[in-house]
Amino acid sequence: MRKIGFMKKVGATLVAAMMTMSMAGCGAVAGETSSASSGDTVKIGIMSDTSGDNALTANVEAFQLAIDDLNAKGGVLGKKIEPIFVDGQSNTQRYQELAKQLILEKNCAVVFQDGTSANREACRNVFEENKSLLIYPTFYEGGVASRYCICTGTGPEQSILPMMKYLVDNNRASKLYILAADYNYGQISAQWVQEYCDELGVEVVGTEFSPLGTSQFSSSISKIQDSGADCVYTLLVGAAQCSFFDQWVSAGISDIGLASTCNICYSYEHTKVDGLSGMISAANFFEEMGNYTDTAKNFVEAFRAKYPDEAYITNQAEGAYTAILLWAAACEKAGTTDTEAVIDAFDTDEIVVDAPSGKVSVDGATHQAKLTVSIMEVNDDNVLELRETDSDIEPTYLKDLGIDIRVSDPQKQFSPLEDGLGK
Amino acid sequence: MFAYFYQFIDSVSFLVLAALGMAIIYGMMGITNMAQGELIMIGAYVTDLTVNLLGLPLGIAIACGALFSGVVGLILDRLVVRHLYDRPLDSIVVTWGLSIAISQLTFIIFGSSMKGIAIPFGSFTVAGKSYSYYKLMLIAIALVLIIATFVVFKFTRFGLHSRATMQNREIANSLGVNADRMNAGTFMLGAALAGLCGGLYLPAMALTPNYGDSFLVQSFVTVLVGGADPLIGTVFAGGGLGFVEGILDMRLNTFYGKIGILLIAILFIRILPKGFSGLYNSVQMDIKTRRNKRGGALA
Repeated sequence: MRKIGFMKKVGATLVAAMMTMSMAGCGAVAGETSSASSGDTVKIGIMSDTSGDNALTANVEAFQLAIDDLNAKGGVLGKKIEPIFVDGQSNTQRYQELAKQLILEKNCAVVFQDGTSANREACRNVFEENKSLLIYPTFYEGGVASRYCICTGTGPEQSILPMMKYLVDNNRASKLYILAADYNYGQISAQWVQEYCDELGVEVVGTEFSPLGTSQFSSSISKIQDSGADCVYTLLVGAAQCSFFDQWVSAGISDIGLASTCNICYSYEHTKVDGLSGMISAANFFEEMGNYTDTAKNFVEAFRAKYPDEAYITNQAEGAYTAILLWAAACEKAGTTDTEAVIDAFDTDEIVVDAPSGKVSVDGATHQAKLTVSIMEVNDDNVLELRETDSDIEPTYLKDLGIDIRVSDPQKQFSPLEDGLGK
Repeated sequence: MFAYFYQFIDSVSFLVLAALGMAIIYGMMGITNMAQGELIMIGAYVTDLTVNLLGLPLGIAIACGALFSGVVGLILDRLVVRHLYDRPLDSIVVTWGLSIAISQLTFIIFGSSMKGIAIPFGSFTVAGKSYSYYKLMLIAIALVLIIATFVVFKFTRFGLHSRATMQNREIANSLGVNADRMNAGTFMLGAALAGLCGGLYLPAMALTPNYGDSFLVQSFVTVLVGGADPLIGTVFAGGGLGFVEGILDMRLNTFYGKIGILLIAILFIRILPKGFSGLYNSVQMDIKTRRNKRGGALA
């Protein structure tokens, strides 16, 4: 009998523990319905994956750093910013629910979602339906055109295109193998790589998509060697897929180069895998940018002072920091934190901030950012060296499609798979 | 041709190393340990820390990882699993809960990712393609472990007692076998094998608190297809699934490799719910009855 009693207790504790965990994940505390900016605070929602396969980068810390910086200077419009962090647990299915909670229950003035494109597309319609603002700071595959979604990271024309040009100009790729994560980001980005290869006269000798969570890559490595490629373009996402680089190095292949617009900058493989010397990555920020520009140096120092144990300051973390600054600038311009007025402020083309990566501004017609992108190469000491910097790169893709959200709002994602421009 | 062979042994060693610990726990105790992935992860973390903080060689570090996972397994068994020996279904839920708690705890303590360590031994070339020596060593270790498991369970007192406990707990108990201690030892052994697997794959994989997830599905399916006998089951299931996965990975891609493994699992549940072990047993029984019949006719 005693045993059963004990078991009941253990069971109850575990159930309670699990419930607490899932509750903590939802951030669902019922009964809170105060408005977005009551009195002297303004609530903002922040959704990211802080557990699971995608919990690689220090987004939350970067958001917190930006919020603390702003609050120390008096907040936004004299109001303190009160962040509400929720964990998506690397589970796309949670994002609809989380978005609804942040908008409807918590009455957040704005919601930031730093993470995968799958998560963004899962919840973007919630923001459109509720006329609430979503800011997406992560580098992505491009093409989202919506009044209620502002993408402040790089699109393909700002990262993949400069990377492909660099590869071609430096004779680093004539036959390319594309290895990408099998979801919207990987699929659409791979399509972009293909487009730019066609444009620049690079032959694509193989394209392979790996399911998220794949950790064994020996068949891919074998196929890459069969393909005759002289460069592999990786678009691998999540902790498990980083294993590709360990296995690549162990296969001892010396005559095939590596390039990426996602690995190194987002999942900092060069700090974990010894032997990636020569791999190139293009993005708007790397922690090593601190060795080259003052704005980056100040950011890295401030970040490290507060979070000395963080593994790496990724471009996603810098994106998070910058997104908060952009939103605060838009609020200041609008004179309010109300959604429509803030979006109208963004639409003026006049929202510019000095971000750690350089000057970042939002293009009102397409809700994409104009920013600076750098190309880095891993050296023999596993440190990144700057190869090239392109300043003020315009987001051109949606413009070329003739989109002006201020005139008509498509509320959809365009991609070369379906826009009629691509093949 | 060598590429296919290499892919095959790569798949097999992964499946066997990932599943052996779980198979022993499932076969001997009837417990499906969903926290096996986290025991693998613990082994990898201890290996990583031993190499990067203490500077010990990889081999010793992997042994430390296995030992530590074994101790964690023992503690889990004494605190939690012990109370679930007769409740196999509940044990799935409880060990699953444990796995979530352990991986989140690791995340809180060590953060989102670890430095990792370099793969030793370098590479070799066959027909113009490079391969890793380390992967060859893994299959060798997998084979050694299978033989060692066979020896332990067939020729030692511990093996005899644990097989007795597995067959009939009450009778083994009444004949002087301390079934409780047998179970604790078995669980510890299974956990140590998990830790060993974690340490062995550390150089080839990125280390995060979710490290174990990469192994769990594969080991679960291998045990499912293998059935209750940890040796027969693991060898046949590891070999069979590795063959199918290897071919699909090479001919198509890893996506189809994964689908193939799951399809086989579904087929087995439908047609051979007791897995390869059940098949082996019924074939053996068949042979015995035939022999007996022949013997009866002669007499």
